Amino acid sequence: MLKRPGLVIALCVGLSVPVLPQTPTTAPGAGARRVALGDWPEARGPNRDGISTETALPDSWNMKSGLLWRAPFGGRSAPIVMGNRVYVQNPSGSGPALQERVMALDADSGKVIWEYKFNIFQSDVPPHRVGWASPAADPETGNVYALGVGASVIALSAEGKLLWQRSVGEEFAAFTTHGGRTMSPIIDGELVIVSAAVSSWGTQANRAHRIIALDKRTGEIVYVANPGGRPHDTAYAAPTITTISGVRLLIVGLGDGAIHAIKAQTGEKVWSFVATKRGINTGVVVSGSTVIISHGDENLSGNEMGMIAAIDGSQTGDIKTTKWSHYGEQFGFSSPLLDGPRVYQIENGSRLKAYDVETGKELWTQPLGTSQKAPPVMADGKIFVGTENGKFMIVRPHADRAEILSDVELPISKNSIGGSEGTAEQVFGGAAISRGRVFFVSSDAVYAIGPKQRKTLTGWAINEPAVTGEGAPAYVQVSPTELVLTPGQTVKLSARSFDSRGRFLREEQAVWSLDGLKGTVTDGAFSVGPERIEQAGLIKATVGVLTGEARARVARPLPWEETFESMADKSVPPGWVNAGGPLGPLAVTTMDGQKVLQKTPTNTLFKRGRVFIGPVEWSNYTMQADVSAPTRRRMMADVGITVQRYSLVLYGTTQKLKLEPWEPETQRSVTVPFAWKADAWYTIKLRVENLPNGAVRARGKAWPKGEPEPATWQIDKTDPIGNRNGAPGFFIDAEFGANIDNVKLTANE
Amino acid sequence: MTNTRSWIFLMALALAAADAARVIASGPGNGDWPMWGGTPDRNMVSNMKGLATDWDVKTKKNIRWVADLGSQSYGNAVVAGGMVFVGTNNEKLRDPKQPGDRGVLMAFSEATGEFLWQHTHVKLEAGRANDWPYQGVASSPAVESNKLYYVSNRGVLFCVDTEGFRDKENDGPVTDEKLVGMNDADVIWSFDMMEEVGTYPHNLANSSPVLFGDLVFVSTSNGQDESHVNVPSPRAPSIIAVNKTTGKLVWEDNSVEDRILHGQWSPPAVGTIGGVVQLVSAQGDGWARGYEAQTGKKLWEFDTNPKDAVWPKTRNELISTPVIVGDRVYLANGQDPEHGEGVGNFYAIDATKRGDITQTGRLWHFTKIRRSISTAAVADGLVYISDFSGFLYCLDAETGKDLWVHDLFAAVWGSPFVADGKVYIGDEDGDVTVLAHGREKKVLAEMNMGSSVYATVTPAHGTIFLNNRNQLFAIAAPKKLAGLAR
Repeated sequence: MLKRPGLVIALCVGLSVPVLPQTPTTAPGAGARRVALGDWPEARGPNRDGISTETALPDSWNMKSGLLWRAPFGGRSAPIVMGNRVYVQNPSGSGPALQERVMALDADSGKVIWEYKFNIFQSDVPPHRVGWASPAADPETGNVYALGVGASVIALSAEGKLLWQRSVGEEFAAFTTHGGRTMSPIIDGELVIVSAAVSSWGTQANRAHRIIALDKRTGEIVYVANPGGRPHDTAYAAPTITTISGVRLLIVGLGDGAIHAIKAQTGEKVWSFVATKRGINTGVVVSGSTVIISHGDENLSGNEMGMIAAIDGSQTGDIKTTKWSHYGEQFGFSSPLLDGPRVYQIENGSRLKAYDVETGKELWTQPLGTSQKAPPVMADGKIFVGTENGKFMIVRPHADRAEILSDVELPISKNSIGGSEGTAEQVFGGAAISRGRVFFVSSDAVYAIGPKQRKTLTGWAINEPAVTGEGAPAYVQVSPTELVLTPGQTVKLSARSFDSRGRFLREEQAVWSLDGLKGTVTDGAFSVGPERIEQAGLIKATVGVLTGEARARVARPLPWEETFESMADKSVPPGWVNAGGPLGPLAVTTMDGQKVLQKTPTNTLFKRGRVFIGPVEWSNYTMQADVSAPTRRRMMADVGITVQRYSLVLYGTTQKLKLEPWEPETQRSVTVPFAWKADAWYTIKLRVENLPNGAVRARGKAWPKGEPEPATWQIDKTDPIGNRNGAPGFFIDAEFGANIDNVKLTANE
Repeated sequence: MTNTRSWIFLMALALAAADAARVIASGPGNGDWPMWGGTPDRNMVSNMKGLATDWDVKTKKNIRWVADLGSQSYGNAVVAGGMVFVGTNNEKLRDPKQPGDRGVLMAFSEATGEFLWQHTHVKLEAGRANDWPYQGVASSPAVESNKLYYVSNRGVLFCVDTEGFRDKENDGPVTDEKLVGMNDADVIWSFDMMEEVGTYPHNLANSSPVLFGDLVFVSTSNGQDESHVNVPSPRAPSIIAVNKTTGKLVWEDNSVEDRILHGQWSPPAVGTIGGVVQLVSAQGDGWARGYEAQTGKKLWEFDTNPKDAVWPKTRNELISTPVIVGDRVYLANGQDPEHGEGVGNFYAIDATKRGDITQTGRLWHFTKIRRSISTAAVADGLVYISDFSGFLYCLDAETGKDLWVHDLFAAVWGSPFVADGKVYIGDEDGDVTVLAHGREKKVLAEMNMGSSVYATVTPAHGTIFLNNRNQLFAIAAPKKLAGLAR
């Protein structure tokens, strides 16, 4: 759930929780959208299409001439620019000090104005892929938003002060993988919109690449949209927002291989086009109602990889046909550009190709480098783009050919944030155009090309009037739509109606009801019943024939113990996140006459996973559990518990006990040998406490169940940049199954 | 020019004389190319003459036939007994009863390209951790006496009948195949590496088998899990030897334990080195190891990474295949193509040494190369090696000095191949470049194959067999034209 600095940061566990103000500070809906000329507020620019209307931009530069500055902060993502500030997202430090970071640099000098660092935890993302996404700036408030590789959403003021943060990683069990693929947020009206492959509870226990919209002022969840099917991959396609047939659409390719259009303010699906059997990482561009889509993987049929195609985006439902299509070129990562009658896209082997927008006729091909991830941007009749093999190119496209204006090989990488050094600095992200200058990020540095004197521009790059709805309500949105509560807590919800085009109408006086929750709801105020139990269910708001709903899970206050004895076989405690998907990763079962929680043996992707069982705000507590695992194929399971973003894991095959906040960043882990036998029960215990000055102490021990608890902790780690709060949970990697029993959670004395 | 030619001729004579003393060496043999590299030494060289040097896949100039493959084909074609065998995926669906994503081994007629039979394997349930979507069968088979050995995407070493069921026999011991049609595979035996020796293949089991005596050798592809930190099965071997008749495990070696940097995708090579038949295996900790082939006794080990190298920025894994020429092993290191470009290392190793031969066995070390997954071609005192950044190097085999370099402007997954005075190499842009084999660079031709070429030229009976992502081409000048030209 939400953490707001200035409020009680560590809600003392076991105390009753006060009523939190939940009312949004402004009316929802898409207000006027104005982006100043010269600003580049999001990864793909003011119009999310990679285009700037600026002119008189450089034709060429090199490391000695035309380079305005080079700041030694490597990254993977595009910079954004607001006024005279360049914002970048990147990793900071290394080893135990490695964090993700948002920085504000002075656009004239590259000097650091401020930086904000945050931890990565409970994630499979490796250190060399931290800082995958770009930040997004809100032109209205100047706030800067970031989605970290560990699925934390961070809201910062223009001065770099934390406004709020939201741990999508724990609250929704985001699947943040070795690939690191993370979508860059975009802002629409009052919403900051992100996406991730998540699996939580109830009807959302299945893993899906969901689009999550948060209130940009409070961080409350406004909607969770799931327009598609099972994700094949994690994916990071850049979304765009455009109005087709009067409907404001957010169009984005997701991990399920489809391009989806949803109503930007409500998340309602308008159409989907399934393009591939893998995830989609390329953005779309829109010309009128024609949407240009592309991908680099298997098509639905045939043995050619990759596609670029045009579809009619004025349709609804499941679109099956294209206006034109080309198969056989792998457009896997870069995003297309529209240039009047032509569309450009760069295939994986870094060949820039041009097609006729109307007919799809292939016009020309221009090799750039050997490997391509970065999307191109265009302004002043020129394309600006970096390549993965360390070149930054300026290209003038013509009707029948491309003209290379500038081809600069970047310096040999010596301090890469990525996975390679010793060759030319790699470019993974797009460029930003602002006030006569071009900014981009390499594996080693931020570059600014252009004149010393920035251009003074006035007027708007984007000036869209406010959207007002009309007619009858067609959709009811209950907000906040995802809640984590404690017994006795009261929360205020609102029911908002939208018209058939997804435009906000009004706050409604709804008829409220509960489904599966003990408590009361009156005029949108939901009071959780006093029972000290876990529960999960829906709060429904009915307006005429329409019903909207919010989901709430209620955590049991500390201390508590769960023996599973009162639970039915095959059940899962209510509201446990990522515990009870369709494949039943965790389920109560009877073993030797005792009820235990079993990690069902499975050789699928779901053999390994993280489960979260309480609020993110909890801190200073201790967890204990009994665990056991079988052995097969020379292997034995890894099974552990999580407290406040630190996991204590018994590793079976390697016979170790490990404490790890962020497994792939191995210098943070503490490992001790621990001999344990298959099919025997062991007790593990993890105590985490906050120390002064941001430090956190985590101590762990394990012993054969039934024997006296050892007096000493086997692992005692003090983390100088500690995780100050976090949900309890489990980490399990068990192809052949594992068992958990007698779970105890207590507040530290 | 004359001088160079004479020199090459003399070198060729010298090599031929030296080769006569060895059991195993590159050569055309009966004209087949029955395994990855043609011979167990894996040297990408053939003595075959008259291979095509120009063709056009659009106009079909010098294209004998084209056969459809799936959408991704990372294996290399092998040719034996009048058939061509190649691994791919199931996106060229040949049997509606076997739908969905599968690894597929396909057999074609060498003469006509007619599809003969296939063996399909559904993906491992764990998905990408063990068996990456749509990557198909990436093992290049080895054929010996009507038996074909390969590793499926499920980490199973198969011995199948090259004739399939077309010989109207169901060869055993395995006789309970569910699919026994004319287009299905006749399994003789299989060895499930995951079940039998506990391997946990990382991303894909891909090893290309090599045979010696009664044994068939494969790398297990044991590796990390999706955390890329843990090796879930550190007690599983890197390399195994299986009896080629019974399919029973004979020996295994696990010198790597939990030190696997990522995966283990390099196939082993066999050659007689210093009078000992050795199995040479490039393993997941970045070390190459030599074994007495018959017994599995470890003879030497060689670290291909500088001591100060740091994974993944500068420390590399081994995906290239070791090449054995004389007493030497030639080997490049690199990384999974997914990791992009970076620095690399290429070595000539004296494999007669014993123990840790990182210092004692290093004849030379070529450091200009970048990350490479290519396998070397060594001929006439010259070594050709390419890298993933798209550079093809020609080195002096004695000194390791670079004589020339050619920029292909596209990533190279395959390997240079030398025959009849020419060097062939394909790249990710789908171009095949033909250069003159010699100490001076001369580009002879460049042809585009229509989609990425991950494979290496396979020569057999005067024809080049080469696959791009989704098609297998048989390339040769028509015989009557060749006759007229003569």
